[in-house]
Amino acid sequence: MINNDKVRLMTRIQLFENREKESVKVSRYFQMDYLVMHMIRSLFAYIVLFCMVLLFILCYNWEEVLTQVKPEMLLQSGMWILIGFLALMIPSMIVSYISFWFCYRRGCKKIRNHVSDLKKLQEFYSEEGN
Amino acid sequence: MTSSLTPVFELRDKLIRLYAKRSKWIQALIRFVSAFLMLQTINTQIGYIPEIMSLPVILGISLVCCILPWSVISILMCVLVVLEFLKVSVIVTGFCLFILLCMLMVDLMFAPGYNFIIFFVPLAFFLKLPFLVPLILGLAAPLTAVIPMLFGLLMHFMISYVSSTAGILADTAQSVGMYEKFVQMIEGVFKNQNLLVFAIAFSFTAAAVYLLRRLSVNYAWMIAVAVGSVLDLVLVLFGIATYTGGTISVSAVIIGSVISGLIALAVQFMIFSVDYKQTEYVQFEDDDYYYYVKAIPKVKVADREYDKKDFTEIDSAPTEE
Repeated sequence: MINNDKVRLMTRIQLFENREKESVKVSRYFQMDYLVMHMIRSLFAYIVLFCMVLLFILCYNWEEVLTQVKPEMLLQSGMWILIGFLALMIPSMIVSYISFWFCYRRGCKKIRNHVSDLKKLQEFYSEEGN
Repeated sequence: MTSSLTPVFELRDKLIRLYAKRSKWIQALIRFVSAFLMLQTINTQIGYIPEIMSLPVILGISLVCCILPWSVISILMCVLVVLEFLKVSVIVTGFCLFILLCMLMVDLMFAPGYNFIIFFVPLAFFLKLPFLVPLILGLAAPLTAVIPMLFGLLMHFMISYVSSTAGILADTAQSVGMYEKFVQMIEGVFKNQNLLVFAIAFSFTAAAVYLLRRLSVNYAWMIAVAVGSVLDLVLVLFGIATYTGGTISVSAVIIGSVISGLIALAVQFMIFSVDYKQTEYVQFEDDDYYYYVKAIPKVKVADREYDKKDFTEIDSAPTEE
């Protein structure tokens, strides 16, 4: 015989999982694991973005680079590029950390009621088992 | 005042009921119209491939977009723009791909989401309602959605620039070398004062609307839209006076700002302040049964003050004895 309360509960659980796929994905990680994973991804994206923009600027100033930059200036230029890389990386990573932290907190907040529904469903199964 | 707003409340309730019954068709229609308008925007400005941008093909693509998610629709639009630019010049295509890759990297770094907005900005400019974008964004999206909005602005100015200088930038034009075309393209887009003015105005407007609508005061959203419209107008007028000179029409800015504010108020009242639930289908199983469930939302009419007139009419109606 069909248990109507159990069906309502299972329907609510499934509706939530259909609507809030991101929150369900987020809740599968511990906070630190989630943040570290996304920070590593952000770092790779930052490196690619920095290289792309640097190449773009070099292409734009190609004539100047070819005529005015001498080999002895390359080391100094490299140092300035590294300083620029680090100077931009630190605030970018901070903003990235905050952004993903908010994503995680938002996802966890939405999942709270879902978790209590899952526990109720678990109780239904335990009662049926008994 | 309440009696004058009653028809509006009734219309809103009808929309809620209609959406609950026909959400799939309404979503498909919205996607169709949006895709059609975006394709028309691209076609009007940079329609260099008549075979792809003919009306039957545009209608066909728009029909396909009815069933696609927004992220795929925006990818499709990116592909079409890149194909159009390929017809003009490799330099222009490379620049467009560079912008799109930057947007992808920024998305990976900050997870703003809402990447589909990138083509709504050129669409808003096409419809002469650019100020609607930051207002709607501030009302409906988080603050990080400003990033794809700014990329959308860049896309719009890039498309505009290419459409006005395609003859010089084209691969077939031999008068200017490749490097000069590249430099001209970059300077034409990034040194455009209008881009800077709109970028600053849009960013501040979206941020102001977002912060104000989250306040715990009555009519916070109305205050947010009003302040956002005024801020937008002031910043753009200041930018016109200081930087751009006469390249943007002041009257068009004022009229556009007022109309965008009114539309944003209407959209907030009709759409964002109400929970539009749709009929959903779920399936699951347990040890004994497979369940196929159709969840139909119960439509609750919003509580509102009824005018005395409503009750007076009921009281004075003849009763059957």
